Amino acid sequence: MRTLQFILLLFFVETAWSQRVYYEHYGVQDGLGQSQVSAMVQDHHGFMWVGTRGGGLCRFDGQHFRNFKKENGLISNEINDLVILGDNLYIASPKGLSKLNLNTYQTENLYSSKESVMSLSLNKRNKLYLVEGYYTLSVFDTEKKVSKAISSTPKEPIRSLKTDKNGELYLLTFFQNIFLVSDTTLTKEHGIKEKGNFDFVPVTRDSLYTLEAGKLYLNHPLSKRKSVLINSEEHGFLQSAGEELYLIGHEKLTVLNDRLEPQKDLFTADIKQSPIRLLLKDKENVLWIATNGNGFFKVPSVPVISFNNLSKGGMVIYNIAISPEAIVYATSYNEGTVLIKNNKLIGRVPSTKELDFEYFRNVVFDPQGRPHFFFRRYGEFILNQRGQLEKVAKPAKWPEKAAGVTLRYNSKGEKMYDTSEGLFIASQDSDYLLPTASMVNSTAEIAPDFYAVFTLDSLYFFKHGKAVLVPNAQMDKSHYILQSAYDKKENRLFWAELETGLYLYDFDTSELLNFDTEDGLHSQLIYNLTIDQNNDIWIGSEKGIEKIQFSSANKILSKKYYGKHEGFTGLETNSNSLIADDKNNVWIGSIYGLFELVDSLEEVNEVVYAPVLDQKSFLFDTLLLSDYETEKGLVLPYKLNSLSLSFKAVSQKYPNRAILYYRWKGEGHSWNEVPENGSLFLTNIDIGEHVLQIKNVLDLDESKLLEYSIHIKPPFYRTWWFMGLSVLILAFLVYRYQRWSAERKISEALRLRELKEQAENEIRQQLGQDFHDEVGNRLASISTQTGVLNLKMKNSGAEEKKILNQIQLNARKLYSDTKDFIWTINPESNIFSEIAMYIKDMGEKLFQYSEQDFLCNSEITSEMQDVILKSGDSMQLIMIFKEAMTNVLKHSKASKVEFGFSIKKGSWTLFLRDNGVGYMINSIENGRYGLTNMETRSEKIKADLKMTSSVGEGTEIRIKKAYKNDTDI
Amino acid sequence: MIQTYKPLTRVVLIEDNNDVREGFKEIIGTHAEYVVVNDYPSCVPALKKLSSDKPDLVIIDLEMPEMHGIEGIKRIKKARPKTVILVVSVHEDSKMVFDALVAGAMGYLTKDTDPEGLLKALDELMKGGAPMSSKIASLVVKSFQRSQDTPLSERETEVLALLSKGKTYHSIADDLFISMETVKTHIRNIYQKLHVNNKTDALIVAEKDNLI
Repeated sequence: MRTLQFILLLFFVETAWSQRVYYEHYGVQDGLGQSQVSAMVQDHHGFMWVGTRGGGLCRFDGQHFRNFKKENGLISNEINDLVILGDNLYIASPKGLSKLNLNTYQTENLYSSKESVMSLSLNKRNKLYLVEGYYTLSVFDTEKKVSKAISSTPKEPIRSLKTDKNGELYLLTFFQNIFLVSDTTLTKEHGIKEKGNFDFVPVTRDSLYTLEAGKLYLNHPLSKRKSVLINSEEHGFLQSAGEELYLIGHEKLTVLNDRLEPQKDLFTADIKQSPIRLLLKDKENVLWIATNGNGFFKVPSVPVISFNNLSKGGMVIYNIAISPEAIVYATSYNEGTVLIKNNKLIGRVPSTKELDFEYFRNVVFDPQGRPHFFFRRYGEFILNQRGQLEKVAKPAKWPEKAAGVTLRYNSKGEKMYDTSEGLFIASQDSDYLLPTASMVNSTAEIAPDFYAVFTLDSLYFFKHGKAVLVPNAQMDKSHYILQSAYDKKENRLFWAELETGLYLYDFDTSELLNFDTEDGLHSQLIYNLTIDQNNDIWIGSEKGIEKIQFSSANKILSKKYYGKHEGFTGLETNSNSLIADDKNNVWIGSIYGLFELVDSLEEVNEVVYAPVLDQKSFLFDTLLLSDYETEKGLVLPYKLNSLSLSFKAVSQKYPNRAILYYRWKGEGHSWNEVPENGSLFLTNIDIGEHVLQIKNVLDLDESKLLEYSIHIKPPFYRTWWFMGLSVLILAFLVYRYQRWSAERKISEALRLRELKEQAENEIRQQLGQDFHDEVGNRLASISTQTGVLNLKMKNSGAEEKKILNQIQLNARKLYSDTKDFIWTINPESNIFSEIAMYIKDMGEKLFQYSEQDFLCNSEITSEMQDVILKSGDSMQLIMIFKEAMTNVLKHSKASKVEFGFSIKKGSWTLFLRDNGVGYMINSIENGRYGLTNMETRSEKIKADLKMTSSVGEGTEIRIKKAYKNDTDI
Repeated sequence: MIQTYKPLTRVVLIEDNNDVREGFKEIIGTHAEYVVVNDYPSCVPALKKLSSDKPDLVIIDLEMPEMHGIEGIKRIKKARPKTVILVVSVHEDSKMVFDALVAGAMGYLTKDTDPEGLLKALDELMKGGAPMSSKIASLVVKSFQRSQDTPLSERETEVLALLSKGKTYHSIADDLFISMETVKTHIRNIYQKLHVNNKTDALIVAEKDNLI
């Protein structure tokens, strides 16, 4: 056994060592307007407003600055104080008071004072107080923009204004007197007794802290002063920030807990030559330390603890192991191993000449919990209880040529060695080698006697000493595996590959999956890998740490990244240096030292700020957008529909985490990530009203969406009224065209029908006429010739004359009937007035040479000319009345015969009455006087025929029918 | 005792139906006061012989070859204004009859008229106008309505109006408290004024009578 070198070990000696919290420093080099910070306030968007002496006003979003100076409208670049009231930031300067609207960033000069406005304060009723010069306390009316000095202000130079937790305002003078300010009345509350550095922090009306010549007093009640432990001339100021009380010295800052015990000496070394001006704790519990000449410090209180102070030169940690007693063994090449318990250094195992940690590989713990140190050249050593490294002999059957790489213990408590020849197991029964073609880099035990062995270019599986093939798991291309881990709960194996990312093999499904930057990982150069108590995967890359939660179905449920702004300044991690302890805190070794990430699992950022529209402009035009702004957004003409919009979501604690997403509301789109610089280029926005929604990804319930309205007005020809009018006009034109077309069709149909009817009538008439001409002439010939014959046969026998008369009568009757028939072909013959007139003329002619007076007292009316009878009815009516008139002429012996016609209540009537002898209707034989014919004819035309007659009182024949124009279309 | 010599009424027949023409010739020949001086089958030869025939009465058909009866009427009226013209036709086409009346006819008969009826119609015609149907009357009314200055008297207008509305001669006589003869006289006057209502004829008549 080699002589162990004495190792300096501070075991059981717990070094009182202070944690160093993570902080950030910002100065002119980062964009701050000027290094002398005079005031800081935070607005409702989360922006931190920083007033400087000479550099104007700066807005800080956690990463970047935006500066406002005189050229932006400020009254002065020298700012004394800031206060926020509503949506306005009030700015006190040597030249007076101005304000900046926190939504529009419009500035306004409110008040030009003769003396410098030194400080601003608000009381519980939001009344704004100004300290002008050293002696004037004023109330400023923000509505009327008028300052009114309070006359009761003591004639003492004013040092400061402060408010207590109830919003009461207090004034401290250089004469060490404290006054309560109630509206415009000042009442002395307290006097600081001791001379020397003095300051105060009011708590309530009845208690306050005073710092007097380095001693801190609690005055409660005011008359009773209780001294506390602090006694340091170095502290000259007292300030509360959040729930804590701070003692501020020239280059010293001490925070007191609620028992007023000093908690920590905050990074004095870092803030030297940084006279502290003020402290502020924001809504995210970030502590801001403003200095007079060194910018400001931001202490985000992130849960990362840096142990870099353990080494002057900085440790490059490349192995971390945690013992069963929860002692962290963190090893670096140059420093050796540090032992940390409860965040306190408890020991070291330094690198020496004899045992150079350059060859160190790892520390493991045997079943008894004893640490074994493994070195590549030196082999295995065990750290004994005396704190000494004792050499451990190689196993008996160590392969001759094998060079040891890493020492592990399996679940049986057997030693396993990653070697250049394979996996060597120092079994209880017998040592054996599981051979591989090249050096083993990493081994994971899947089950007893079942191992996944990663070499430089292959993955081997060994089961019960034999190599086995696992479907899909063994890749055929070479990879550089640095780390592996087995998830026992889900029966899956993880390994980290240097260039291609994270791999997962599920033994249950035989599924091999690869995750890289396309799956959202920050890097696929993965150096190390560990599984924590919750089965979540932690990977370390050159960009930081990432925690990944997988589902049972091997899908990524969530990812969380830790980088610079999370306090992890280490960034590039080293292999074998990522491990989760039993409290699930994650220890990270990097090229920049050792870090512990605490409270990493249930971390919730309770303060989420809504996104803010920071800048806006037209994309392709230099026109001012302000001309188109409304309360809710923009109303733009259709030609100006391309915009550049820049958004910000502030997080002072985790600036990188506030990722923005956007979508168009109600347009069926999913959320899309806003580019990292926060700028959206929206081109060719459609006409219409749109609402752009922006959300902070930390806003899980989407309760703080920013909605920005963009209304693109249509050109006049696409406005609703124009389109409506066009549609109406078009509809009207279509209607008119259809109507015209229909009318034309109807008119054409009517015309054609008329032409057809006319043609038919003409043909009918012509045929009839031709027939009548021919027949008429023939009959006329017969009639005339028989007439002549009759004359010549005066002396002939009665029988011959009778026959001749009959021939003549028949000829004339036939002639007359044919003439009547031809007339009824005429379309006019369907008109009631024409029928009436025809029958009347017929009667006039029949009775012209008779003894009977033929009367007709009825008159044709225009209504009668509109009554159209059915075709064929006229012939029947003519025949009826011809028969009737003939009867009257021959048989009635009447002196007067009257024909009449009328229209009444939708019916027409024709009648013939005489004052002749009359007859008994029932006594008339069938067929006599043509009565049956008349009845038959009237039935044919469905008219009502009524015959009334009585002996000696004449006869009347009346025919009536309800009319309907049969020729209507 | 002084006897008054009354010359016979000279009648010319113009009818293309031989049977009817011969028959009318026979019938009229039986009347003591009429003599058929000539008969023609068409207007053309009749017009040529008009000056030698010197008819007092012309009985004329309408539908004839060579020249329509209406044209014949116009020419006869033009040559011999005082000749009374009676239309005898198969047609009772009101329009054609009306045109004939406008042309100068004083009445019309249908060819089926018996001999007695024919002779009575001749007598009546020579005394006054032949009966006017209501249809003709309504056409006459429209004809006069087209003319701005109606030549009809008030009574004539009344008679014409009642006739056009469908009243019979007897009814008109009763309504106007006049006799049948008076009604017929009015009708005759209407016929005469109907002839003059044709402007062309009026001008010719006026010129002939030196009224212009």
